[in-house]
Amino acid sequence: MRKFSLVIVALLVAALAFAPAPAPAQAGKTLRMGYTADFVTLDPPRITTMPDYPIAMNIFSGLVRYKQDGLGVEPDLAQRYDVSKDGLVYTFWLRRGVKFHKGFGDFTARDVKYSFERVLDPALRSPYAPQMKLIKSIDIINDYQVRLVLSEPYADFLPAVLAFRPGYIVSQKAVEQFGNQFGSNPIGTGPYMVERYVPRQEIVFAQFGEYFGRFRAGARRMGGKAQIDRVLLRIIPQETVVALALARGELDYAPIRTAAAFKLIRNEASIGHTATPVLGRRSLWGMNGRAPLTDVRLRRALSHAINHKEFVDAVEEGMGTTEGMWSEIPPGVFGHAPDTPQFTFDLAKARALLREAGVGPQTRPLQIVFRDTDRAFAQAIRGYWTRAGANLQLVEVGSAPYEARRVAGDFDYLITGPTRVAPDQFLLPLQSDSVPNFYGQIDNLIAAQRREVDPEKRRAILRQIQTRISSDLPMIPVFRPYYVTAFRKGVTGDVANTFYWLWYWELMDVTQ
Amino acid sequence: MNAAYLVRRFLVFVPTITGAVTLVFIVIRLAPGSPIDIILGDFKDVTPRETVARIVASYGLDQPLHVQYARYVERALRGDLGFSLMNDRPVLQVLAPHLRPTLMLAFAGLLVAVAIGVPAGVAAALRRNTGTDYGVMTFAVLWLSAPSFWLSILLVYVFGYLVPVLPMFGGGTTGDLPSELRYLVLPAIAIGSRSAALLARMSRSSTLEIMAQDFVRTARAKGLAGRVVVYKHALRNAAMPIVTVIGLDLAYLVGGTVVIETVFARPGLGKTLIDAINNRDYPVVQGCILVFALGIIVVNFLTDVAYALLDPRVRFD
Repeated sequence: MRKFSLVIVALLVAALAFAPAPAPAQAGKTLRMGYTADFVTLDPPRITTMPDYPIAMNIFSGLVRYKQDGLGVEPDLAQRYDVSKDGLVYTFWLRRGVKFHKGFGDFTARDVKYSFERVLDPALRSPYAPQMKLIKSIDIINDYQVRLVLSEPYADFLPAVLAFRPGYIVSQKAVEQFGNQFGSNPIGTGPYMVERYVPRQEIVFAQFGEYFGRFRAGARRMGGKAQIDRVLLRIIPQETVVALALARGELDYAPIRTAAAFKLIRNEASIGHTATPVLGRRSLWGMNGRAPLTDVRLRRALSHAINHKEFVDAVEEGMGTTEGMWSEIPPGVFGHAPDTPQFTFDLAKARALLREAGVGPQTRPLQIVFRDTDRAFAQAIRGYWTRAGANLQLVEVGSAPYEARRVAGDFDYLITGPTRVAPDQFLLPLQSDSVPNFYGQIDNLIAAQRREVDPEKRRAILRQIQTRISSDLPMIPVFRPYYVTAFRKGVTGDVANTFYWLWYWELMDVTQ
Repeated sequence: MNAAYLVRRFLVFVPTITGAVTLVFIVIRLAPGSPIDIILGDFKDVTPRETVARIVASYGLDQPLHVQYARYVERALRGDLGFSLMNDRPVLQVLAPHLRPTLMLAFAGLLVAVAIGVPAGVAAALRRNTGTDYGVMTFAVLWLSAPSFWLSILLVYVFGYLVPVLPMFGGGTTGDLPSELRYLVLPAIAIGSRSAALLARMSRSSTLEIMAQDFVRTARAKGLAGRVVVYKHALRNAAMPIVTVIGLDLAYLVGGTVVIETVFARPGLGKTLIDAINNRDYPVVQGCILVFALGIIVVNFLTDVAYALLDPRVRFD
């Protein structure tokens, strides 16, 4: 028996000793990234999640795109565009000589028409089809000029539709060739293309040599040439391991999503990071049309009971802020109103309002529904609210039951925090035809701002809406998380934008 | 061992597989939540109800359960396990690349468990109530109590970060065996150590029991050397319960790959199954369960065969 064990140990040692080092990196600069999940699909009109979207930003281009510093849009595949005064007709003059990846041909106005009409195809099952339905007609004037006519004005059409996921242009030839596997074989006109994909392990992206132009400010600074030849995206489900790998120099760059990993990288001298508040806030959505939450005094009391600053420092390890969180539309998005009512931490006031509302330990417990990733969040809120005198029940569920409860309105409070890009998107859940019993008291105002093409008039309506929401507190804001990107020293060009994690690899450089 | 015995054992598989697949088919659909909620993400709020209904229908999820089941069975019998609801990839294509890494991890874990656990347990039994015995049993209890998640992070931290002698994450270059083995060492230790502790305890008690039997005393009385008594007479008889534990434990090891694959970022079926359950990706869940059920049945079968080889009484039963 002893001999057998020795043989096994000897074999293992020999295997290790003679194991070759990992294959040497290919020529050129490689950016080694880490992320906790594999992509689901890289077919733009089907993308709803991370990391699909920031990957797609590097593979595809739209007629317009977001600016580096915020949510404004600028031409991308279009050289210029024109919008009619009534907001119904959009005319685009397209860039010439643009190529699709891997020899899939030239980009023309026909690709625009194909890509947009494809979003409406029921077989594609795109959640963005309703937005694309706003386009009444797509007229090809010539190969390099296209006109879109809307059925009604939509003030957020450029940022919310054309610069966003459904607005990316795909290659018709590639879609027809790959069929429903296009999501794993994406062909666009962007600066990088998929070179190799090993599901749940790694994705390798190679620079597209015929990319039409790099005219963002950063790229001009680098002489118009992308520095990173290859991006190796490693899928590492445990974010603590991502942080350790960054610290050991085995990764160059990674988005960080958990407070535990943030704490690790923040204390590591060899790692730099950027942190920008997201376009959204983490909050507790209430079933405000159902007792006892129909009483606004109760909702305000619960807000007063939360020590927001302490929450950010203690629960989130400083990975967020309370600035700009009291308005439904966050700073950076058109129409943000900075001076809406705020119900900040005041325990005495919270207790008094709860007494007035007749709520205490004897009343029905309020059910807080949350995902397992929000356990610490929920426990902290229970601490604050119980201290103020409320009776609570925590309900932890998996992703699918969470979504089911959210859509059905099966909760008293729900911990959530969607991020959006356009003012209208923030307001949609508050409509009466959205989540039942959530709010639904300002449908007319929401519809009015959507139709309003005069920016100042629209800003005034949005201000009125936000003041009303902040006062009624259908959702109780807690904090605004940060998008955190961590990088090894030697990595430059990371774009920190409140809009999303923007992995603009064409602007980055790495010293190896 | 005769052919009838093998056929009898084999026929038991059919109802077992059917039962497992049917149960999973029903249970996953009864669980709250739907894949459509995941597909649409938080855009479900802003998606009109008729669009949602159309997407549900396009996957056939609006059909009654028995209709969906009949369709699934009919396709599965033809070898078609359907498509992932998340990305339209064929289920077999989703699962195939993960089978080998999971099997490698489970068997490497088993190797660690047997190589450490059995000698340690036998040594403890032969040196009963000595320092060796107490030492082995103390470690066994500690390892049995250590959660594999904690142990995995500890191994990554010590051997990947503090003393970086082994890779922290990944599965190595597919097809390059030395590279794959190098990436397998830490995960195999993480997954195998609990089983090693279990086997050590089992081997100790089994050896102690056999050593007290009359035939061992007879062998000693015949004047056989101590080594011959232990290796030729005692251990062969002590092997039966150990083989049972190894068989059972292999199923545990396959299940335990979920945590290990997550921490070490290894490709594998365990993580694929958990993600599919969370996403309510019904066809992938069913495919994974089918593969796991088949694997466990094969292991049980091999265990039965091992019994028959080790103990003639089983063959004649």
